Amino acid sequence: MTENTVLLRQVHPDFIPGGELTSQAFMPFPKDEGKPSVYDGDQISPLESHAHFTETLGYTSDSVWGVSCSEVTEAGLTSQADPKEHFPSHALIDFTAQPANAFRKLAKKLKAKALTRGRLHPPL
Amino acid sequence: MKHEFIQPRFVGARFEEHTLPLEVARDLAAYETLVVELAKYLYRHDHEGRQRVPKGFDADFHLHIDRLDEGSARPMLSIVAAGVLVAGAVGGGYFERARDLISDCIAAPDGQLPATFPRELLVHFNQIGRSLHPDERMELPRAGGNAMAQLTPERRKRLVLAADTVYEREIELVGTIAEADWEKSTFRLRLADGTSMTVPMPRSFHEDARNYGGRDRHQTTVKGVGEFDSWDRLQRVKSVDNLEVQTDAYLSSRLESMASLVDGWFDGQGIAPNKDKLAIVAGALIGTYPEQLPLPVIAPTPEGNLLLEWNVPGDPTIDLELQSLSAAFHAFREGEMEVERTFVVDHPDKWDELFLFLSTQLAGQ
Repeated sequence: MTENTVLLRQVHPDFIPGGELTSQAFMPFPKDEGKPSVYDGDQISPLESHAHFTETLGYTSDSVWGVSCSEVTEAGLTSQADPKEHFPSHALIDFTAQPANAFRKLAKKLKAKALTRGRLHPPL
Repeated sequence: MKHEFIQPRFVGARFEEHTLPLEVARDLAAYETLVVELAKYLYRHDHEGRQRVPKGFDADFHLHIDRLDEGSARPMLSIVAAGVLVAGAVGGGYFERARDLISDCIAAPDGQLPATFPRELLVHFNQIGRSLHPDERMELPRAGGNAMAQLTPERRKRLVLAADTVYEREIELVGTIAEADWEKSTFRLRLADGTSMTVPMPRSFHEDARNYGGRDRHQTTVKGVGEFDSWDRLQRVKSVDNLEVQTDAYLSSRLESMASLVDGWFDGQGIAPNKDKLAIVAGALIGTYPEQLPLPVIAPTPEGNLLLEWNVPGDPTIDLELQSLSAAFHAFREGEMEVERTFVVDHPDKWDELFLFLSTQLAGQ
């Protein structure tokens, strides 16, 4: 991954009510242990990532949004590749260096970047 | 005395338990009216030169639902008369002819209505069958062992349009009250697609129209009868059966959506927001959230709490922890500045305090 790599985030329908993206899409979930999962956009397209997430993994995704590695750094976070067997494009955004009570504002920063980039899948 | 007249059959999901919804009784009453009107027409047609039917022609013709047989819902309609209604007596015979002609009319292919059926009476099909849902039909027996006549919503529409440019159908419109015309006793309902429709306004609705007119947060649902053209475009709201206002419709809808979540809502994980706490929040917001403030987007969190987020500069948010009713506000300000403040909204006064704070934070947005 490079600083220009776009990290692809799958957004659950309840986090984008009425098509309005919320910062909840970028918040670490309890199971994430401070490191929410994303897809490495250099290895997989938004369309393919959505298909993998919903069809291969069986999870729910309304749409795909993205932030670049440099934007993650700018927000005060780090990102890292985390390839898994049968899931080589798996990556993480790491919130753990920040206190939990800062997660909301950090997620909002990521959301703002994603909104500027626009929805990646379905394409606008 | 009673005498079996006709046994229609209602087919569709609503009738599978062999019951008849009350609204269908209106269709049957309209059917009775058509039988009488058509019988009178046939009599006058047979007696050229007579402008009127004999006195008492239909005095003894009253249809009653005698019983409800199985086979979907099959109400037996019987004539209940004080005396014997026989062919040759005043009105006798013509009602049976009218009954059979109505069935033939329904069964006839498009453009081939029976010549003996007067076009001006097709308007009665605005009432007959109006309660039928899209997947339902009313079947009527025909004379001579012919296949049953099937009145579907589509067939009903075609019958009315064979003699008119509009047909009637039940409507349910949802919108906001744009303005009211007190002189004409109507109001303009603005629909979600931006169009608007003039709606008759009963006197009982005047106070609501005054209170909620021009206030887009409050939705009005109109149930009644509309006139549609052949392309099914609503032309006019003819009459209103029910008007209901839902205050703060968006907030209400979102909170109802939160309340419908169950544990595991988030791909097998996710705690459902506590319904009792949601009811407290709903009670505090609906009807009370300041109208001058922009509405927040409301989302659940996997921990069972709520996120309120405003799409205005500064990205203000409130993380509302339902268990403690603790509302943690955050917003970005110019430079590296941020605003953070926490409210415990466990009392109506505390909500007022929060709303006052929001009015300073969301001001000018």
